[in-house]
Amino acid sequence: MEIRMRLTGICRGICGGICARVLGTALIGLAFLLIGGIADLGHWWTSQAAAQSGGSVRPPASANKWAPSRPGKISPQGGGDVQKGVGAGNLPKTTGPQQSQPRMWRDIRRGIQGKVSIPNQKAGYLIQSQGQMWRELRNTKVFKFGAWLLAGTVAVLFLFFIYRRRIPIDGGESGRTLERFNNLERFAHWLTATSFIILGLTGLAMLYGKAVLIPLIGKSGFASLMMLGKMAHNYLGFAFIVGIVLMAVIWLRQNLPDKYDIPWLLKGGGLITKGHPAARKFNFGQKMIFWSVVIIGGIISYTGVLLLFPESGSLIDMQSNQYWHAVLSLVMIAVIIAHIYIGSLGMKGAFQAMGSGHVDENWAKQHHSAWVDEVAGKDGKASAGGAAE
Amino acid sequence: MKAFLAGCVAAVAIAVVAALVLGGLGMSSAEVFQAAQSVRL
Repeated sequence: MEIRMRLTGICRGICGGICARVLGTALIGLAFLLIGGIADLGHWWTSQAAAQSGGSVRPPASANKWAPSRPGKISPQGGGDVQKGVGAGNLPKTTGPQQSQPRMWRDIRRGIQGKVSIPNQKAGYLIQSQGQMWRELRNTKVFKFGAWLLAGTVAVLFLFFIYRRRIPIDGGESGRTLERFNNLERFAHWLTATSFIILGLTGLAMLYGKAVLIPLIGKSGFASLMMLGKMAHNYLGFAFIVGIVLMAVIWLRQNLPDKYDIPWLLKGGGLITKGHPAARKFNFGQKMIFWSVVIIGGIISYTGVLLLFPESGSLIDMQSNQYWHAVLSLVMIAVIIAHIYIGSLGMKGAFQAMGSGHVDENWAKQHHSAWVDEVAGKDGKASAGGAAE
Repeated sequence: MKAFLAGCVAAVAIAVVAALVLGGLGMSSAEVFQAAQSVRL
């Protein structure tokens, strides 16, 4: 029996070590990806400044691979070298060799604005070089960052589940329950959660759909799906905004720092080691999720609303908004995946908090002992008050 | 369960209201990428 317990302990230690190393490596890798992306963003802004001051602006070398295929190739440097072949018959025959105009093309590359006869003056930009850089950033760095982040999150949670299994209720269920979240709190949570799940799935389809969905459902199927997906994404965003505002108003006070946070953090929330640190209604981990949703969700909402109105800013503003909207959404999806795991599969008794609103007393004592004391104190005072009356 | 259903219904209701308001203001989802400003006079 003792040998078995020691072997179990050794196995858990090994699994814990592997989990910690995988998590550490994944976090370092993601940090490098994010730093790389931010460095590219910095390069992008620098190039914008260079363009405005008359410097050189060149698209990234690999930008052309994302450019749509054209029936005829016209080389600015070559002065109108029209490629013969498919589709070339529609081009005027006078586009033969012309004098090279490098100065004109350099100015166009720098973002010189021409005159147009339509109200939308942005159409006067023939080439926006930063747009090619942005597309390169989105289609490579952000694409890879999101894939690694989400796959890494799922992998770490899987390893954590193998190591810790489902966290049980110490002493089993008592049969007595406490009200943890009232109707309004659960309504705000589910309003935000349901809208975020649709927003997350449709957003992921926008970023990864070409690579993942088109091979599965074809181009026409993907087009139909994304017609609906884009509509849902655009309008459900407002439900998400209402949800996070409601949650912020309801839970802000209870998510301010308190004396239980540091000890909770030092003990790893009782998730890695044995023993459950005390916490009030929200422990440090839940507070982190709350602030992630409010702050990151707020920035995602702000940039999302701006993206709904492309005429509200310059092209580079829209590209910057899109970059941050995508990166922060991926971070938030990873946070919410972990939140869903620990609130359902990862911990026995946790889902009831948002399901029925009531939790078992033993669960509450195990994870939120200070909150149980507060509730018991209030009830005691109420009872005492009632008895005095 | 009731709170969950209420949340789902509210999310759909808010999305529909947003669509109607933005559509009424000429800013519907279908129009934002072919904004009226780009239409040749």
